[in-house]
Amino acid sequence: MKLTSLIRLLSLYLCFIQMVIQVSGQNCNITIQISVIDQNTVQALPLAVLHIAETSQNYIANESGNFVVHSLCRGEYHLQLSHLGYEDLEQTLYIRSDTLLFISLIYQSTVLNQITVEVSSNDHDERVSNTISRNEIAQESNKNFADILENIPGVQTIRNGSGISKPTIHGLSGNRLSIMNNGLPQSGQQWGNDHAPEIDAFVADNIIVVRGASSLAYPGAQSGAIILVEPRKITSEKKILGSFNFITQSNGSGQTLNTALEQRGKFLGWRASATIKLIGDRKTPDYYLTNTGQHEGSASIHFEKNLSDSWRSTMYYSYFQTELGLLRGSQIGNISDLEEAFGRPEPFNTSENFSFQIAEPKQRVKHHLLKITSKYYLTPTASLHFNYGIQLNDREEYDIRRGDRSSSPALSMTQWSHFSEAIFKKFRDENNSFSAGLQYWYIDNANQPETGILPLIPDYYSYQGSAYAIFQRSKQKAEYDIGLRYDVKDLFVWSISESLPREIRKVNHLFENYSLSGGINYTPSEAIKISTNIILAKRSPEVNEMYSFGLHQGVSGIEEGDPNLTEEKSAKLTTSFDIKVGPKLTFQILGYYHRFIDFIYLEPQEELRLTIRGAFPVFQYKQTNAEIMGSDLSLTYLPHPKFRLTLISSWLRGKNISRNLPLVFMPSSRIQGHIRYLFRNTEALVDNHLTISCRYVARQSHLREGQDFYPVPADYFLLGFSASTTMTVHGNKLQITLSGENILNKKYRDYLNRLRYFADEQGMNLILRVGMNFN
Amino acid sequence: MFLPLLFNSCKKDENEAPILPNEEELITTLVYTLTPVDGGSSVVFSFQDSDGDGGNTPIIIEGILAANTEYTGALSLLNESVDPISDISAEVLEEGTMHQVFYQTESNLDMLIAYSDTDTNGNPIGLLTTISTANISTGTLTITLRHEPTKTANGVSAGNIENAGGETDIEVTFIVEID
Repeated sequence: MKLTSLIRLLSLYLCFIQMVIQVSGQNCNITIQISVIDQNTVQALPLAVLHIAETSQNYIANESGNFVVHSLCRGEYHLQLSHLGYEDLEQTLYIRSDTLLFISLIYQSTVLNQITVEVSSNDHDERVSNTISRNEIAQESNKNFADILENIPGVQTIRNGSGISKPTIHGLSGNRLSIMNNGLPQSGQQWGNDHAPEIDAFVADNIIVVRGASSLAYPGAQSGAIILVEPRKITSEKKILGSFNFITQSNGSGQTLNTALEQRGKFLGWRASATIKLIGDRKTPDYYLTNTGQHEGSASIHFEKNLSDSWRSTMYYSYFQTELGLLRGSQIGNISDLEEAFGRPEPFNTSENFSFQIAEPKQRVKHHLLKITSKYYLTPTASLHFNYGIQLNDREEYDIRRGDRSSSPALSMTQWSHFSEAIFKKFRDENNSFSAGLQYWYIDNANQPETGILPLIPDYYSYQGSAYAIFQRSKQKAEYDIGLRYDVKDLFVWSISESLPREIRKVNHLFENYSLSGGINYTPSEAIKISTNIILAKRSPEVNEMYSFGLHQGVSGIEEGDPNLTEEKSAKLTTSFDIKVGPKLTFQILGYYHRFIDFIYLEPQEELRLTIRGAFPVFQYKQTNAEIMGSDLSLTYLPHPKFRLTLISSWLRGKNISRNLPLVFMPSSRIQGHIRYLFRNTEALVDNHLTISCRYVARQSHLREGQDFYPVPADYFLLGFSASTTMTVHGNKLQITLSGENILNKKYRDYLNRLRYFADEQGMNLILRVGMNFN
Repeated sequence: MFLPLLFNSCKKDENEAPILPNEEELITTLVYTLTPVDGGSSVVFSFQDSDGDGGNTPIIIEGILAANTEYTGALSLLNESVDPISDISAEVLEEGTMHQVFYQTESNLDMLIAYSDTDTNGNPIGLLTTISTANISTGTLTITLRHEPTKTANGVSAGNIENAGGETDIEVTFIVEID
C-alpha cells in the first residue's frame, strides 16, 4: 500500500530504456514485456499505465510492475506511460521481435498536481471519472466547452439556445464556479447566464473537475467547483507530430476543423494549434431556429524550454474569437411579448430557410490569454514555481435597435486581467507533501460608451491578494489532506445614479475571505475506497450582485443589485464510495450536503415596476439561508470482454430555508448511459466499436406554482449512437466516427435552457468525424 | 512577480471616471394629444419617466373626452434624458415600415380609433389617428409601439396586435373617461 501511495505522489519520468533480449518472432504475433522500476529504490512500480497509440490499448502494470502485450505486429509503436492522470510520457520504438524492456522511472519531485490528479485517479480503471480525456475532447470538439463536460457525473449545462452554454456543478454555476484555463482563472463576464466560457476545448488534453483540498490552490469560487482545462506537455519526439480533426454535422450544417503540430526541437519544444468552427441555424424537429449560427476561430502556441536541468520555462498564448447568434424570436421588449411567445407553435420571425448568417441579436467575443511559467528545482524534492498571465476579454452584444444603432453594441465591455503567483512545493518524504502559494490578481472591467445605453453593470477594478497552504499525508491505508486559504479583495466601483442628472460616484468595498478544507481517503481493501471531504468557504459578492441595474434581456425582469450584500458563507460535506465488485463491476456513489448562510440569489419582488414599456417584475439580489443536497452515481459493468456498460445518474434538491421555497434553476434528476460493443480487430481496421447512448431527464417537479413564468417543461428521453473505426494510412492513424444525437428526432424543451420559453431544443443531428495523427 | 507591476504601470488612470454613454435611444415620454375636429381645446394623455426604468416613478396625466365627438390623435415620443430633448417620433416615422403603434381599448370604453397615416408600403404606422367617441363610459386604452412587427400578418394593419410579433418599445395604459 505504501508503494501505491508513493506512486500516487510521484510524477513519473522516463529515464532510459534498455533493450535486453531479442527472441525471434513472427509478424503480428510479437509479445513484448515491459517491467517498470523505480530508479532510486529499484522497486517494481505496479499500477503504472501503458498506452499504445497504434492499438489504442491501455495496460495496467501488475503487482510486479510488469506489462505483457501480445499480438503486436512488426513496426513502429508510440508508447505512452502515464500514471493517475500525470503527464504522458511518450517514446517511439521499432519492434521487430519479442522484446523485453526495462523502463526505470525517476523519483521526480515535481508538482503537487498529484492532489489534483488524485480526483481523476480512477481514469485508467475503466471507471467513470471527473476527467474528460484527450480522445473524448477530440471526438466532441464540434460542441461547446460546457457541453463536453456533461459526461462527468454531477455536471450539467445551462444553455441559452444552442450555441451558448455554461457548466453547472452540483447546482452551482456562474460566480460560484471557476474555470482555470491553463492555470489562469478564466477572466470574462462569468456572471451572465448567457455568457459562455471563451475556451476552445481542443487545446486541452484533460478537463478535470477538482474537489477537495487541492481546489484551494485556485483563486475564485471555493464554495462551488473548480474546472481545470489542462493542455498536455509537449511531445518528447524529435520529429514533427501532427493531428488533424474534421467534424461535419447535419444539424446547422456545421463544420469544425482542428489541427495541431508539435515537436521537441533542439532548442525548445513547441506546439501550435488552430480551430475553425462554422455552424448555421440549428433545427428543431419542426422548424429552423432562425439566427442561431456560430462562427468561431481560435489559435494557440505553446513553447517549452529547459533552461537547465533544474529550471524549466513555458510560454503559452491563445486567442479565441466567436460570433454567436441568438434566436431571433427570443428578443422581447416586455412581459406581454414574453406571454405572447409562450406556447406558440414556432417562435416569431422563424425563417423557412436555413442560413449561416448571424444577425442581431448576437454576441461577439474576443479573448486573448498569455501565460509565462517558470519552475525551478531547489532540491530534487522541492521546487519553486512562478506563473504570470494576462488576459484581455472583449465582449460585445448586439440587439435589434432603432435607427442605424443595431450596428452599435448594446453592451460592450473590455476586461483586462493580470494574474501572478509564486508557489513552493515540497515532498518531505513519499508520504508527506506540502505546497503553498502567494497570488495576486488584478481586474479592470470597463464599459465602452459607444453603446448609448446605461451599462447593466458599472465599471470596476479590483485587486486581490491570496495565500494558501495545502498539506497531504498518507499513512497505511489512509490519505489525509488539509488546505487553508486567505483572500483579500479591494474592489472599486464607478456607480451611476439612477435619477437625473446622472452622477458617477466611486465606491470602495474591502472583502476578506477564508477557506478551509480537510479530507480523508480510506482504502480498507482493493475493493473499496471511501473518501470524505469538508470545505468551509466564504465568497464575496460580485459586482453584478451588488450593482447590476436594468432590464435583463431574454427574461423580462428588472434586475437590481444591492451594494450592502455581505459575504456568502458555506460548508459542503462530500462523501463518496468507490466500490469494485469483482473484475466486472465498479461503481461510485457520491453524496453531498451544501449549506449556505447569506446565500446570494435573485428574489422576485411582489410589486411590479411601471416603465414606459409596461409593468415589469422586479428581481432583487437578496441573501438567505439555503441548502443544496444531492447524489451522483456512476457505474461501469463489463459483462463480457466485448461489452461495456456505463451509467451516470444525478439527483439534487436546492432549498431556500428562510423562505421555505425550492431554489430555482436547479438541474432536475437525470440518468444517462451507454453500451459499447467492441468488434474484433481486422488486419485493416482496429478499435472498432459501436455505442448506443441514451439520456433521460426528469421534469423539474418540485418548483412551486408561480416560481416560473411558464410551466416547467416535461421530462424527455434521447437516444444516440456512435460507430468508430481506426485504420492505418501510410503509417498514420486515421480514425473515423459516425454518430447521431437525438436520433428519434424528439421534440422537447429543457428546464436549464433559458430559451425554453420560446423554442424547442435541437432535433436529430448526424455527425461524421475524421481524425488523423500523422508524423 | 514583478511583471504585473510593469503592466499595471501602463494601464489607464484609475481615478479617471468612466465616460457616461449618451442615452440617445431611450424613450422617456409619450404624449398623445387629441384635438376635436370641430374645434375646441385639445385633450392630453401623457406618460413621462425622464430618468428611465429606475429612479423616480413616472408621471402620468390623463384627460377627459367628450361623448359623441371626433378627434384627431397625434402621438409624440420624446427622449427627455438628453439635452437637447430628442424627438423619437421623427425616428419612428423615418423607419415607418419597421414600426407600428397599436391602440387597444377595453370593450366597455365606447370609442373607436383608426389609423390615419401610412408607411411607404401603404401599411399604417399609427403616429396619426382619428378617434370617435360615443356614449359616456370609462375604460383603459393601451398604446403599444412595436419594433419590427409583421405588418402583413392577419389583422395587423387593421390594428390587431395579436399576430404582430416584434419587440415592444412602449406599452402604456391610460384610463380614459368619456363624459
